[in-house]
Amino acid sequence: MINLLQKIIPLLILILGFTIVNEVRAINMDSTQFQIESGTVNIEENNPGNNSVTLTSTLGQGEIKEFLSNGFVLKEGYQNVYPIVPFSFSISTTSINFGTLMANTPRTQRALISVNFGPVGLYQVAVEEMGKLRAQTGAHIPDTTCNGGSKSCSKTSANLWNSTSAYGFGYAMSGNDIPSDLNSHDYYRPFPDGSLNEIPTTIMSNIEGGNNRQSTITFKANVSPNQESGTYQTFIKFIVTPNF
Amino acid sequence: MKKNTLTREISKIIFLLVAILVLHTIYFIFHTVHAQSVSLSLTPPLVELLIKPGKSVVIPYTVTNTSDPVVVVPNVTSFSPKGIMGSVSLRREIVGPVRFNLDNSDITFENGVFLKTGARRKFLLKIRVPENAPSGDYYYTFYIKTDPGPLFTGKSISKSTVVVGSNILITISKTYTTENKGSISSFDLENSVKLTIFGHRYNIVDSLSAIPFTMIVKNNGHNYIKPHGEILVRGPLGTVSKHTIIPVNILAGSSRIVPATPTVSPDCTNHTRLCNVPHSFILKGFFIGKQSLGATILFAPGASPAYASTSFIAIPYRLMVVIIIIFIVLNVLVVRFHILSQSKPEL
Repeated sequence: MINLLQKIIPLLILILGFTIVNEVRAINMDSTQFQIESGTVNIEENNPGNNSVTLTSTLGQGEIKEFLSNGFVLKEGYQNVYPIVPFSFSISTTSINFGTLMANTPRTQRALISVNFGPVGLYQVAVEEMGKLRAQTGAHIPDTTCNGGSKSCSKTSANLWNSTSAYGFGYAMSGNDIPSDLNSHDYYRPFPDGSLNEIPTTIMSNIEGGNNRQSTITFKANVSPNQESGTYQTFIKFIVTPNF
Repeated sequence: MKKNTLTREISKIIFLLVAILVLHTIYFIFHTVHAQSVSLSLTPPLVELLIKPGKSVVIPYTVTNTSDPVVVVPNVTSFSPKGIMGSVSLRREIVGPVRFNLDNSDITFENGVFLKTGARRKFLLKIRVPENAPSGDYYYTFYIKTDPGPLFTGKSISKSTVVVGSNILITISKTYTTENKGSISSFDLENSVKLTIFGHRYNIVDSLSAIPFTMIVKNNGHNYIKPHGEILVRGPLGTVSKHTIIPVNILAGSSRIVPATPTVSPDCTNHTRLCNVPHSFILKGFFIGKQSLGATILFAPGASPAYASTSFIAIPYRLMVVIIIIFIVLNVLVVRFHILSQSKPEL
């Protein structure tokens, strides 16, 4: 038995040490700022020398070559429209922990969103929940309808949600490029439900370019006294796309 | 008896050590792989491809992670145009004849790739068009999706996953020719007072205000178009300004607001009113009288241009109100001064 112990303990120490070393490396991985890189698009064609493929990109410093042909256009090379800036998205936290939810006690958590797409690039950020905030028993926290009545909100139209007796799960926004209906204090919307094939809702989009567009999304949950006790969980998907 | 006790004690120690090791490993795996914050960039953001059936190309995408370590999963889906600003709506499935795969030896679609902080990774997207693919336009989005990891039990939590996309416009043509048909469906100015007198509509604006104009172009063909052109502003004394149309893609069967070089760009930092109004360009200056705007759009070099026009009447009514108020105030002051001077007792 002692022999067995002598074999196992060094092995365990070795594995433990290995995981600790990995962790030290992880701590050293500090976040850095955005990196600006050359936006030249390199195209690798499978059949070099074959002229059958013409690729144009709005990123490159390429030339615009268009040929006339009876009202039709033959394109070759690049077309400069957007500046040479990578399309970047950041969110300050991907984990929104509501802790222990208590009846009639709304809980809110925030995340900072940043989009960088150069001075003229247009983009949009859409959002959806991948199912309701649901417990393992199947019980779920409903999507908010805000204060209800004349203050009801929908997936595309925010409204006031400050009543502690109005229950549900939703979000508010503040900052750059947000929809105008969300641009008021305590105005919330419910998330569209991707598991029900609902269309993701745009929460940020611009009609004028601008660097480092920032907004804050506030998640809010409030449960009724009748809400089954348990832990409620869901995934929120942020879909970030440049305009075409 | 003593041996049994020793064996039990040793078993307990081994069990404890193994339990600690397992918990420790799980803890560090989750903390190093599943990010708390996400910051990703994707280059290029847009690719336009005119391609013949039977051919293929490889496009290198660069993904840079500037935040916590993260697992990303690449994939491609179809998109549809949304709205009139060039936004996209990702579809939940891929449609069309174009085939995609990754040329990287170690990555496939739906397989996660670990990116440590500061890592930059190339994804070689191979686009293949089958021989029998019908001519036409096909629109896709190459995207990377972060893996949020499992939901932890014991907490009421929502975990976020991030999808960052880059659009691909593909035109399949056997002869490299595309159909360029379009029309100007709307050309008007926003934020004006609209008066209709004897069947004629007049746009009245203040001479000093910034005027947003909107021009919507519709694509009537089967291939995306990129119109060129200009807008001329003419006043009573001749041409006031010229605004070049900025070429943007208008997808087949859709409409889009076409931007033009503005005379002023609004500061959208603090929700300026102009930033909430989709527009082609903003005209600002000091205008008096009737101003006419003429737009000329070319959908292809050599093709017949499309025209549209609009006009507005500029009146300096804010300035006039200020002058009237100053006049009234001065008048009141003069009258009062006159009354006061008359009511003064003579010495």
